[in-house]
Amino acid sequence: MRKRKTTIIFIISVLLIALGFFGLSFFRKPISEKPEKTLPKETEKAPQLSVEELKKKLLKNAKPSPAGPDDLIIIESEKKGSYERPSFEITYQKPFDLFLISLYDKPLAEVRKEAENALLEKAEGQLDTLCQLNVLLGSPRFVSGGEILKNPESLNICLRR
Amino acid sequence: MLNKKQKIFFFSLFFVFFIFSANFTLAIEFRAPEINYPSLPFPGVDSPQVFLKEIQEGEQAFPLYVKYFYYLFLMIAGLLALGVIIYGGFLYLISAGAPVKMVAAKEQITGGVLGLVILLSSYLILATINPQLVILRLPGLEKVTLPEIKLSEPGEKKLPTYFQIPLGMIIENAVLNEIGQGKLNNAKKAAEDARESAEYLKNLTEELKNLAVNSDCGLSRCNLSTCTGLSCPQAQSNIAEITKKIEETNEVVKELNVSLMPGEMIPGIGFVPTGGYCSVDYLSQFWNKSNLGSLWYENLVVDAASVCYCESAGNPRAVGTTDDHGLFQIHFPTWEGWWNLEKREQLYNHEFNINLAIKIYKRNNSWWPWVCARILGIAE
Repeated sequence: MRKRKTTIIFIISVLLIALGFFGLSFFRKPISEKPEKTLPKETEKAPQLSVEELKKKLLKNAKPSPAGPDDLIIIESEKKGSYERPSFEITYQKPFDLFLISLYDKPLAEVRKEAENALLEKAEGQLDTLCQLNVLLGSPRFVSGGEILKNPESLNICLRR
Repeated sequence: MLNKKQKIFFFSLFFVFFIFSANFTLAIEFRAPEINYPSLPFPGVDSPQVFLKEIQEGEQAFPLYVKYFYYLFLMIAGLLALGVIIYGGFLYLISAGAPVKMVAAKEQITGGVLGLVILLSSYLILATINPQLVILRLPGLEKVTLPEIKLSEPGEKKLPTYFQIPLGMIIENAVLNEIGQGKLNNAKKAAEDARESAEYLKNLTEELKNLAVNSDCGLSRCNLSTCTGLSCPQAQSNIAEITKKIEETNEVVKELNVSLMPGEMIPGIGFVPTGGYCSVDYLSQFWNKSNLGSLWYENLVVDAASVCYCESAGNPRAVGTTDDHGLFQIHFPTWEGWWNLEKREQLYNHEFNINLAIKIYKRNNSWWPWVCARILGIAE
């Protein structure tokens, strides 16, 4: 019995030594080498949504506007502007399939940037699809004094792509 | 002659040598294995038929095979060890107090447990012997880039080939992509309007020229026998006609200057959106075209659109600081009495607001009640 046990231990030892010896020539690789796949799954780019899917996402939890059922309020800025109302608001006008971004505070360029970023955040970073939507930006005369925005029918974040 | 121990030793040595000296073929495309390997109950351990399907480009199958077989043998060996322990326990049970049998049974159980411990700590042992043993990776193959080989027909004379660059198509595509079909249509429409106005202007100029030629007062062109030319009263009436024509001409020129295209912004004049409540398409349905000339009608709607966008930015809920409401920022206190307005909320309705703006426009025959119209130069 003892002999058999010794034999088994001997064979295992031989196997391990042989493995250590021959293995060196086959598995040469520095220990410090970094693993190849460094990107965790969480940081991978989300799949691109279609225009309709993005609209659904944006219109989720949209509030009806006092202007009528055809107008839906998507985002109202939490920051108050100079006129006791949100510094910007983003609405969706159903009959025109149009996303209207109204700016209610100055400086217009900064408020526009905030509004565009808020919309991009709501779209969960889907910039390419967002840039395919119909948008109209503007500021009423009582805020802008008649000043017209540059490129009022496209988002600046789309132009900088 | 070799004894039994030596035979086992050399057999093991050769077995291990042949196993590890065999090269794995690094095929570019993996095929489904012909054997159906059993799936293992360990999480994260896929059978070859599963991982070969999911394997990525550049990833090696060898480590996955080793992992699979490691767990497979671990499972088999674990079951064997369990069997050995159970068998030892059974021997112990039936030893009936016989010391020799009891010792043998105990040794059986100890051997089983020892084997199980060695088995489970195999990773640790391998890592202790040589850490590189647990990094299972074969040296990869470098990609071979073959030089491009140009084949030519035997005996064929090589001739230089010239390619025509489709400049026309490139420019056309660039323009269409840059400006867009909609804007091209707008440009076309604006050009047609401009042409119509220019023709009208040409006719006016012709009439003006005729009137001027015939407005010589007195007998300025005489030959020996006869004199031509109008008498002074007739010439006076022509001068009045000329003045009228000049004014009309000025109006047409002014229209040409102020003409806006939807979606285009003219600095200092305004912007006409292509979509929304302030677009030309939407506003045009509120005007009765039949009562107005084509040119006047279009300019009127364009003016309305630029005033609307400037006043409210197309938001029917816009509320100004001086009690102005809706798309055209209608001043509630001013128009409340005129049009029997009941409440301010009425003005948030876009149709109501636009119709009211048209009434105000018609009443004044001008856009002057709107601040934007004065800023944009649409009204004095």
